[in-house]
Parts: sequence; C-alpha cells; structure tokens
Amino acid sequence: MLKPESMSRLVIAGHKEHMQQTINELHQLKVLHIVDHAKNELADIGSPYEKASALSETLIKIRSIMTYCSLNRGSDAESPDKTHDKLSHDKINSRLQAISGQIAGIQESIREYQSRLTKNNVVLAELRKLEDLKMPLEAISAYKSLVYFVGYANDAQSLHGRLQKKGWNFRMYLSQKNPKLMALFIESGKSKEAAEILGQSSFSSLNAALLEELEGLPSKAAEKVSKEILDCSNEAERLGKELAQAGKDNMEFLLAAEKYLSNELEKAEAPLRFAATKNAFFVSGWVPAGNISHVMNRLEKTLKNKLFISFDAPKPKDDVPVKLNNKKYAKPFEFLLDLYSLPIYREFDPTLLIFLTFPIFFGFMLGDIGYGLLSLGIFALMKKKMPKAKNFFNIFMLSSVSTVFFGLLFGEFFGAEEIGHFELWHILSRSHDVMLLLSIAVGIGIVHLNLGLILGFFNERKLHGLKHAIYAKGSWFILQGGTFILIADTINLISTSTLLIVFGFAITYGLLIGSILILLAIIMLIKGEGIIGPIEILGLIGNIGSYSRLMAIGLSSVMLAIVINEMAFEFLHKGNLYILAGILLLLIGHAINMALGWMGSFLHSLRLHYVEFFTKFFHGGGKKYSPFGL
Amino acid sequence: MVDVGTGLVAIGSAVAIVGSAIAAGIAEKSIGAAAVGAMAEKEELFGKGLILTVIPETLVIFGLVMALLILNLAK
Repeated sequence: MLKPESMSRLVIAGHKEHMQQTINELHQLKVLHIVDHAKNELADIGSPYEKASALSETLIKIRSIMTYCSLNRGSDAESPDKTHDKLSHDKINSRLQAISGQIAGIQESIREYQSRLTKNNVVLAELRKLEDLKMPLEAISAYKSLVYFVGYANDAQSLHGRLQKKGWNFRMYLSQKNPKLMALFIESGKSKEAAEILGQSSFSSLNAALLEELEGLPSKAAEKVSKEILDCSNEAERLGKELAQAGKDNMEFLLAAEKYLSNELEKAEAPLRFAATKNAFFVSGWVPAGNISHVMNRLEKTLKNKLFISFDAPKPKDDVPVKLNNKKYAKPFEFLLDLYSLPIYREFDPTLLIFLTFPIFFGFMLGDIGYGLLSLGIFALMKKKMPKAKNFFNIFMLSSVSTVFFGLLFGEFFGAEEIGHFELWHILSRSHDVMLLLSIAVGIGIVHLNLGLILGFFNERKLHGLKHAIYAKGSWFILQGGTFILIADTINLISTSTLLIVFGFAITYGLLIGSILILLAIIMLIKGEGIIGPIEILGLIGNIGSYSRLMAIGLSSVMLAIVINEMAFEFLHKGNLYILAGILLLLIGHAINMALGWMGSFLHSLRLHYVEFFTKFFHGGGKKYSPFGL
Repeated sequence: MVDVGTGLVAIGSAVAIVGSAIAAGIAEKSIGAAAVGAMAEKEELFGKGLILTVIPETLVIFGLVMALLILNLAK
C-alpha cells in the first residue's frame, strides 16, 4: 500500500555447463526480472542455444496458420496448460506438417477462386458495356488478316459512311441505344489508316482482348459469366468456412503448441540477456524481497552449491522495476495508473488514493439515484459478458455505488427532485444551490491539492532531501497560509488591530503578516524550483478553479435531465399517441444523458487526478516488473 | 418583460459561455486530430489520447462558472 513492492537485487554466476539448468529453474520460478546485460569490455552477451532458430521457425509457422484461421492468441485459450507436458518440438513438427498441408491446400484453392473471381468481374464489366451490340463474341479473336477496333467514338454512325467512301472491305457493328459504341473489323493492311480516321473521332478502345475466349451474344455471355462469379464466390466462401473449421478443430493443439514453443524459445534465447565469458555466465536481476529465500532454496537444492548467488538491497541510483502492491479492493485502480505511467520505485504509489477519491468525484458529478442504480446493473452485466475488462468495470461499479450515495444526498432520481408529490429528502439541491455547490467543489479541490502537496513533500524528502522538500513543497503551505490571513483580514473574517495608516489606507497586522508570509513563500519557491516556481502560483489558482468542473459537469447533467423530464411530461399530459412519444423521449433522452454522464464523469475525474493531483507529487516513468517465464 | 439591465447581464453571461466554448473547441480540434493520428499508429494510446483531448475542456468550465457568477448579479 502506498509503496511499490520492495525488491532485492539478485546476482547469479556459474559455469556454463550449469546454465541450461539455471534457466529452467528460473523459468519455473517466474520471479526474476532479468536486467539485460549490455556488452562491455569485461563480458559479451551470451549466445542463444542452437535450437532457438528451429523453434522460432516452427513458431512462425504456427502463428501464420493461426492468422489464416483467425485464431487469436490467448483469447480462445481454454486451458492449454494441461497438455503442455506431453508436447515436444518433434511431436509438434510432425503434427504441424499434416495440418499445414491441409491448410495450405485450402488456402491454395481459395486463392485460385479469388483470382478467377477478380478476372471474371473485369470481364463482366466489359461485357456489360457491349451488351447492346448484336455481335457474336466469336468474332473477337486473334486474326491474321483482320484487325478489330472495339470501343467508343464520337458519332459512330457517320464513321460508317466515311469508311464506306474509302471503298475498303470492312464490317461495322453499331448499337441502337448508345450512339458512341462501335465494333469495327477491317483488313489488317488498312489498320493504320483506319486508326487515323478513328482517332479523328476521338476513339477510345475497350479491352476486348479479355473477351476472346467467349462465345455467343454479349448479353448471353454476360449471364454466363455472372453465374460463374456467383459459383466462384460461393465456393470461396465455403472454403473459407472449411478453413475456419480446420482452425477450430486444431485450436487446442495450436494454442498449446504456440504457448509451449514461445516458452521454449524464451528459454533458448535467455543467454542473450546474460553476460558470458568463454566458460562462465552471469545474470543479474530483481526479485521481490519476500521471495528471495524461496529462490535461494530452490537454486541451492537443484544445483547444489554449483552457483554463486548473492543478493542485496537496491542502491539509490538503481533503476528498480516496479511491482504495484495493493490490497484486493484497490487493485482495479492500478489500471488507471497504468494508463498514465507507473511510479518510479522510490516514490508513492497513489493507487489507494485514486481508489478513495475517484469514485467520490465520479459520484459527485453524476450524483443521481436512478442513474446510479441503472449503471450499477449495466456494468455488472457487462463485466459478466467481458471478463477481460474486469478491472475497468469494477471501477465503474464502485463509482456507480458512489453515484447512488450522492444521489441520495442531492435528492435526485433521474433528474427529478420529487416522485409524484413526494419530495425526495436532500442536503442540497444541485439545480438551485449552484453557488453553494461551486464553493463545495472548490473546497474539495483545495483539500485534494493539499493532499497532493503533502505527498509531494515526502517524495521530495526521499528523493532530494529535507531542505529541498521544504523549499519546493513546504513553501506552498506557507503561501496558502499567507493568502488565507490576507483574505480573512480583508473581508473582516478576523480582525487585527491597525498598525499604521498610509494615505488613508489602514495597514493591519493581519495584512502585514499575510504579505510577509507570501513574500517568504515566493523566495523559498525560487530557491527550490528556480524562476519557474512563482509562475506556478498562477497554475495553482488554475488548478483550484479546475475543480469547479465537479459542479459544472454535474449541473449540466441535472439540467439536461430536467429538460428531458419537462418535455416528456408535456407530451404525457396531452394523452393519446403523445404518451408513446413521451415515453420514447424519456427512454432515449435519459439513455443519452446517462452515457454522456458516464463519459464526462469518468474522463473528468481521471483528468483531475492526472493533471491537477499528480502534478503535485508524481514523477512517474517507472519500469514495469516483468519476471522471466511469465 | 425584463428590464434592460437584466438583459445585459444575460447577454454578458452568454458571451462568457460562447467565447470559452469556441476557444475549447479550437483547442480540442487540434489535439483531437493529433490524438487520432497517434491512435492510428498505436492503438494502445486510446486512453492517453482521450485524456489529452478533454484537457482544454477546462476553458469552457471556467466560462460556465463565470457565466453563473455574472447571472448572480441579476438577482
């Protein structure tokens, strides 16, 4: 809680002949976060085991088959762990050969059908253009003594006359409907001159060569081709299903093999992360302090004093991986921290504080009994449907409970403050006491920010020493104190005796003390954070003001709900069909308002944490603890 | 009918909202475009993109607070 789990540095060294066994043990233990060795003058990195390349080759094959059959790693896995022990690389290879043969066959025919499909689609498009020509398609073929021109020309009818005048031997097909469409067959000796004449009528050719294998009239041929297209696409679809089925049949094997192989590959490639000399290897990493004795025992037991093992506590400059350590109830909120950045090892882990304040902010903004209960149900249902996003929905469910709580305080039920003629009990009404709500929101902001500053003080003390902490963070408290005295004195909340009067303006002790404190705080800030410090004072005012969103988002959600209710009730009072419209308006309106409320409240409470709260103490940029073998 | 003073107060508070809403819109426009671009490259950035996009919304919230304070003058 409030601190990442404490880590110890573990160092293992030994002779290379024990490396394999050490890797196996570490892989099973799943606790060592290996620090990759960087090549230096003392030792190079190790070289992977020979089998690594063969393993990765098989792994790539399996993954490609899984992509073909649209299987996802992890998602469909039932529990492939059980079959692990029986698998071996050879067994996988022999079974894989059969599967990949089958799947490659299906793939091959799918590809063939697809290429036929594309070709036929092009042919059909050309045929559709020629449909009006009463010309047998057999006419289009490769001739020795004839050439053909099929395409569009301006005023094809008159072309016929012009060609006739030349006295050449030719035949021309024209369309009844499209005056531009034409097909001309002419002896090959005259092709150049004919092309010239056609060119004058800006002739553009169709791709008739595609049609050379077809027979009959274009319209008949088009029918035939479209039937073939249908057949091809049906067949391709059937094969696609067959492929998916083949994937499903072998799913368990493929998933288990994939997992097995990636584990083996990780082990085979582990030496790449070690330091190695000709005969020895050396590995260093991090282990949670609580697990140290277990790791030592295991390694001693299996390798019987053949290894040199040592551990010690992290030094201040070490880049220690971070494993968040929170109680079960706060665990889901680690997700929100993950979204931002992990804390570094030596600072506070704010997960517990997010757990405390996030639902409060969310509830304060949405604050409605009806919305709260409804969203609680919806999120419980969604959590069941999507167990993968469990953490996310847990956050939302907790926030919904807090929404109901604040709904009770504000006396709101779907925006209405009374049900029938029974007025709901409330502490304050959000739609009427706006200014009070604003003050409360800002008050919450001041408390929250000061909490951040206190954490910041302890963080700075740990990272840079007490003196810096007092200058950089302590100054903010003095500043606030001074400002408070100054304001309290001006608005006569406290009265202090007058010190002296300058130009008719009474300077009281309160005014003087307040000003001195503020000045002192500014000087400390400059010492602590440089010239940027005093500029941040403006930032702090902005930060406090920013908490007014607690009021603003809530107010907009209430107002929208009230508008929806009023409009709907007007309809309901009119009777008849209007009742239906009224009910529809209520349903749709509240659904939209609630969804907007979820999004707004979620994003804005998150933002208050990320932008306002975290900037007061959080450094972030920690490296995630990811143990070898997991 | 309300008197001229109240009308002016109402207009003043409307200006506060309008100005800040336009400002927030302009700011969110560029951030949103950049966020979507980043998301297209790397889908995991959805969370961060969403957060960054709502950051300028503070502007319109300040506008709303100002509008409410101005409206209070009319009472």
